[in-house]
This record gives sequence, C-alpha cells and structure tokens, in this order.
Amino acid sequence: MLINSLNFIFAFLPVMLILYYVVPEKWKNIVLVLFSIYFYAWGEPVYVILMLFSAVLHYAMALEIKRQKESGKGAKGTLIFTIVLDIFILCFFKYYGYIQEAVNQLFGTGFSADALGLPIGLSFFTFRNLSYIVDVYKGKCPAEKDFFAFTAYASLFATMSAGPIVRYADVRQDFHTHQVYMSKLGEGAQRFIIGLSKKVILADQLALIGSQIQEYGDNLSVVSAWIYLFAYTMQLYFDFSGYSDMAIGIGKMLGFHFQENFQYPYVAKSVTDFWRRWHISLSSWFRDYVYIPLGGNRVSVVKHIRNILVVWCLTGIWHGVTWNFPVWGIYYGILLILEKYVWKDKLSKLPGWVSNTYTMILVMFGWLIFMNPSFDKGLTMFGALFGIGATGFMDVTAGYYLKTGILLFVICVLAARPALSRFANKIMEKSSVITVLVYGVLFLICISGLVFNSYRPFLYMQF
Amino acid sequence: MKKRKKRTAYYVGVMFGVIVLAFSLINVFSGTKKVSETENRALAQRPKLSVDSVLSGQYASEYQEFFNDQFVLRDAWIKLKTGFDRALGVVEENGVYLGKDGYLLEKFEKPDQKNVSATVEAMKTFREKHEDIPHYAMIIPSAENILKDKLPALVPSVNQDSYLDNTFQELSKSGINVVDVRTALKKNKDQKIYYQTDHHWTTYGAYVAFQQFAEAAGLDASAVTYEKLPVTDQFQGTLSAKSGFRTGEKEEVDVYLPKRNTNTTQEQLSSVIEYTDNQKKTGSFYNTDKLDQRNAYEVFFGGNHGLMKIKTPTTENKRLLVMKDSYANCFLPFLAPYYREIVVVDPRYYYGNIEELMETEGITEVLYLYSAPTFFSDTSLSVAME
Repeated sequence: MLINSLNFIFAFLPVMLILYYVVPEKWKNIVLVLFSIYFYAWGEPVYVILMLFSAVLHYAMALEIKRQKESGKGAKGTLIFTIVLDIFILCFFKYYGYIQEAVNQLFGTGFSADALGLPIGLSFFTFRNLSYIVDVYKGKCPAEKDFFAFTAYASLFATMSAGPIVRYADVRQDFHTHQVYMSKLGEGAQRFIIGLSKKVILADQLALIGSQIQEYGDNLSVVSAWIYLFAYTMQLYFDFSGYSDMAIGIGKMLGFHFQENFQYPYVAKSVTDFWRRWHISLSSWFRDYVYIPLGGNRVSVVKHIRNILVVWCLTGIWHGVTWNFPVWGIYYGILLILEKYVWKDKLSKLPGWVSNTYTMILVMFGWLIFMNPSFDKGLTMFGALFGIGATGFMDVTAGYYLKTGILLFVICVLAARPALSRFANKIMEKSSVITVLVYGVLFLICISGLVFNSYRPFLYMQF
Repeated sequence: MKKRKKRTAYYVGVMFGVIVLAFSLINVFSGTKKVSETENRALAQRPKLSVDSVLSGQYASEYQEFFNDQFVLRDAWIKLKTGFDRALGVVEENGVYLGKDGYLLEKFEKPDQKNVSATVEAMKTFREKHEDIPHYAMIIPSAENILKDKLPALVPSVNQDSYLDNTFQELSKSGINVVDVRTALKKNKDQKIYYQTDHHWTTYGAYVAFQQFAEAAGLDASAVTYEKLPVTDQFQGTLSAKSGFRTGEKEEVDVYLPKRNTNTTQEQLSSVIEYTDNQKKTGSFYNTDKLDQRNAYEVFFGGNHGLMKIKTPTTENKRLLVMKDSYANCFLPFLAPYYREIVVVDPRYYYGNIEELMETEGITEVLYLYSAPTFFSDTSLSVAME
C-alpha cells in the first residue's frame, strides 16, 4: 500500500486511527504492529516475514548485547554478527540478479537470471535497525525490553516505504507515552496534506511534463533540455519531501515526533550546505555510523579525503544497483572535498544568489547522473544542455512547455523556498477559518488527483 | 499566539477527520457500480479472496483498482481535477488538446516507420497481384492537421503532412490512385467537418471527400443530391470522455439522405446490408438504436464490423472492395448509388482471406479509406493482406 493512495487514506487510516485512539495505552503498540503487518503484507505478502524477522532479530540482539555488557563480556562479536547479517541480506536482495548472472557466466549454468523483487523499504528498515543496534552497543540508547514498542518502531507503516530513517533513541519515549489529542491530529493532518499536495499536485504533474518531453527522445533543444532537467529536479524534491512530510504527519497523528528530513535543500549556498538539508536522516546516518567511526575529519588530510570518498560511494550505492549511483555518490564526494580544501571560504564571500546558483547547477548535473542508468544517454542530455547535438536553442516543444507549465514552475520555485510558507503561516496565524479552508481545498484537490489516476476511458470506439 | 495555532490545528483536525470519515463511510455504504458511462468501460468489481491471489499480491492490486474505480462521486472528482489543471494552464489531458472554439483535438502520435512501411509494402504487392483493376487510397488527416489553427498556441505537433506526402508518393509510384482530400477539406474548414468532442469527421466532411473521390473514380457526383437530416443532438464524443474536457458538451449528428425527387432514391433506400459477424441483414445504413447510446457515431452501420456486404439495386455492374477504419462508416452511403455491391472489410476485426473475397465477390475496384492516425499506427491491414 502507498500512503498516497485512496485506500490508505479512506480505509486503512481511519480504521487504524480510531482503534489506536480508543484502546488503552498498553494496547496501542500492538495495534500499530498489527496494522503495520497488514500494511506491509498488502504489497509484500511474502517478504513481510523478512521485515518481521529483521525486527525480532534486532530486538533480541540488542538484549543480548545488553546482557553481555552487564556480565562484563565484550559484545563486539554480537554486534558484528548482526551488522554482517544485515549487510548480507541487503546485498543479497539488491544484487541477486547480478550474482546469478555472474554464476551463470562462470560455470555455464542456466539459472534464470531474474532479479528478485526488492522487498519494499528494505534499505530503510535495515538502516533503521542498524542504527538501533549500534546505538545500544555504544550505550546511546537503552536496549528495549518491551517487544511491541520496538516492533512497532521497526515495522511502522508510515516510514516504511520512503523514510525518514528515524532512530529509536530519538523516539523511544514516544512509543511508551503515545500522547494523542485532537490538536496533534490536526497538526499531523496539516503536515500530511502538505506532503500529499507536494506529491499529487506538484510532483505528479512535473512527472507528466518530464515524460512528455522525453518522448521527443534525442531531439531536444537547449531550452527543452533545461526545462526537462528543471522539472526532474523539482519533481524529485517534491516527491521525496512530500513522502517525508506525509510520514511525519502520520507520526504526529500517532503522537510521535520524527526529525525533519528536508530543510529547503534548493536554497543551499554550497554543496556542503545542500547535503545538510537534503534527506537529512540518511546523510546523518552515514555521518554517525560510517564517517565518524572511520575517523571523520580528525585524521590526516589523505585519510579524511579517503573517508569522504568511502562515505559518498556508499551513499550512492545505497540509492540503487546500477553503476550510475556510485558515480553520483563519488561526484558529490569530490565536490565536498573541493569545497573543503580548495574553495574553502571563497563561496561564503559570494553574494547569496551566486552561490545558490552555483549549488543548484551542480545539484542538477548530479540529478542528470542519478536519472540515467546509461552513460550514453546521460552524456547526450548533458550535451543538449549546452547545444551539443541539440536541435537548436529553442523549439516549439520548449515554447509549449514554457507556456503551459510556467504557472506550475513558478509555484514549484516558490514552494521550494521558505518565504512562501512563512507568508502562508502569517496569514494562517491570523485566521483559523482561512487556514481550515486552505487545507480543506488542498486536500480535495489531492483526492481529485488520486481519483483521476484511475481515470482510464476505454475507447473501443477509438478506431 | 501559540494558543491560536493550537486551536487552528484543532479545527484542521476536525476538518480532516470529517472529510476522511465521511468519504470512508459513504464508500462503504454506497453500492458498487458496474460501468462508468463517461469512461465507457466496466468498473473494477470487488475481487474474490483466495490464498493464491493474496500470496501473489494479485488480490491487493485488484482491490486497489476496485477501491479507486468505486470511489464515491467519481465523475465529480474527475471534473474537479481537469478544472484545476485548466486553471494551472494545462491544455492537454490523455493525449487530447483543449483547442479553440470548443474543439478538442487528438494528438497525432509519431508513427512507427516499420509498421508504415509494412502496410505500404502490402498495398503495393496487392496492387501488383490485381493490376487490371483500379486501386484507390484515401488517408484522411485528423482534425489536428486540417484544423491546425484551432490547436492551443505552441503545441509541438508531429507533422502529419510529411508522413502523408511520403506515403502518397510511395503509393502513387506503385500505380495506386491516391485521392488527396486535404485541399478540399481545408477549403471547407469553416464548416463543421470534424466533431468538436470526437475524433471522427462529420458526415459533411465525408461528403466533401466523396466529391474528390467521385472525380478520381469517374463517378457523376451530381447525379444524386442530398438533404441533411439531424438524427440526434445528444452525441458526446470520445475525446471529451478521454480527456475529461468539456464533458457536458453535446453535439448533433447528421445523416445525408438522397432527395426523394430524384430517381435514385429508391435504389439507395432498398439496399441490403449483410453483416457476416452476426449473420444479420438490414435494409438501412443507419442503426437508430445506437442513437440512445453515448457514442452516437455508431448510428452508421451500428459501428465497425469485420466484414459486411452492401448489395444495392443499381443497374451498375461495378463491385467495390473497401478496406477501412471507422472514418469510412459515414462515407459509405455516398458510394451506394454507384456500385452493385460494396464489400467492406475492417482488417482489425476480419480474420478471413482477402484474396478469396476478391474472387468470390468478383471485385472490380479497391478502395482504402482510413484516418491518418489509424493508418499510421495499425498493423492489421498488412497482416490481413498477406
């Protein structure tokens, strides 16, 4: 199930919330676990076992680590065992198809080289559980005794498919208190509607423009290529941050406080700044569990550069199995090294709009690598941006999308900056009526968009 | 200030709860609908629960479809969405442009060159096999071409003309008589030659094209004069259904009847049409039952048939084979006074042997009549003629 689908919003959510609100405190985690299992099994009726196995494993291993530490023994072995197992599962599912292919080539065997379907949210829940086990080992988080509290966290439907990678240490208290009231539900609803609007009104519409421009294939003009890249850049942000907003909103409805995952990344004034604002829960995960254990920046320059490259290569690999992802990661690693050791503080001396433009151009080139699994295609598109192989500077396509998309593009640019929400908040602070109206209208438009997705007129009389 | 924020949040919570609960409950208690009239399709029904379907994930995806299809006030939501899109400046939905003066125009998809060559090749071969009889080809551009000025500004359209020019040239070279109706249609574009909410041409458009054909085939077009008879004003075309634009719009459909004072009248009226697919015979080109349906264009012969034979009581001895798509349906009646028999094949629904037809029916002329979008995208013509 997707949290932006009609049957989530109009069947799963109300039933779950009502039950969750009415049962006594000690039952709330059990309700969450049951509904999360149902939610997960909806899309993955088989892999739900894997997801639960991972939850139980980390619950048990954390207690084991605690026991070993209390009895004065080292718990390092248990920790390493768990980490290795996690990484093995992650790699097994991600690279199953590739491994089979390699085996077939080596031994001439004929296994059918179908990639296993990647279990939904595998990368997210594995990273979540990993953070827990490491935190327990380091004493940053107590080992949870309450089985349902931990399993509710480890299987939580809201953050399952697209994060954020919430850490148990941050939310443990919430899973024991479950503070819920109407105004929290309202805050959660506000956040959920914002996220849903980002996804349905902005991202889905941008995706449509992107796919239409792509239909024209290699024959892009310079302006078309830029529109395409711009639309993709915006789509990615609103899609992803929309999901995060929805997850955070649902969390609020349940009485949980999840960390922010995005802080207006497209106003960043350097690439370093961008990564402090984009998918914060992932970059801070890599910082805390890879970068700092490797020594972070408190080592020699050479080792520091190595650390940065390792972390960013892994960040890339985390995003996908094709070659372009590690390249995309290393691209960022190099940029961060340049900003740290070559540009130094030159960037901060530039006017804000210059450093923001510099950042956005590099980020957009990054997305170009990110979206193209084939090197040739990425290169063709990169060329088109600068007129190499383009069909001229401007064509009808570009004019058409500029004209019909301009309002959407302007809304996107405004919505990606904090000024608009500051302005909206000011108005909303003044009037409850306007606030309710604005959210109500946004919600209705989103529903209409979701219904429209299933609008498929059958045109047998087409011919 | 903080208190106010909390109170506002409270109200938003109430609003959210009310909307979610209201639609959830109405969804549960409103019955399931079988069909969507606007979309002209069966709506997904509640899937059957079984261990297999649950484990394979099929149940989940079917249930999802069911839930979406049966969502309350479906049509109203669709209207809200297209209205919102229009406000945003969107002028294309599902491959349909919202044009000027109330016209909806279908986007012409870039043809697959391989399919086009296969079709043209098949037509050439067919012509070589039957060299002794005349072959005519009419490919009618869609409204997007003739009514270019009705398109929204700056639409990046695929140029139908270049595809038509190339194909016409190829066909002419092989001795097929191409009847290019573009100039004639353009000359008449101030009249209603295409429906505003449908992808078909009007009977008037067909009449204009028929005069071109008559000239090419040596028929005396002035022998019969027609009067226009509106048969419905409730036609809601496929383009409005497809796009969600102008869904309330209704149009008139006309048929052209020969004037009763000419002596050909009886001839056309007493034609017998034999539909081989359902073994029915009728005495009229028009199936008025179809007028009560949403898609009133089916009034012409009741829609498409794999094979039908029109036997007319003319004294002529010519027998025509027409290979066609639905554009021909409103065109065929104009041919009736000139042919003893018209054998009409729609290759998309015809699985018989065309060579055999040529022989058993004693065909003396061949006509291809297609709209450009079908001609350039459909692969069944080349298959049927193999």
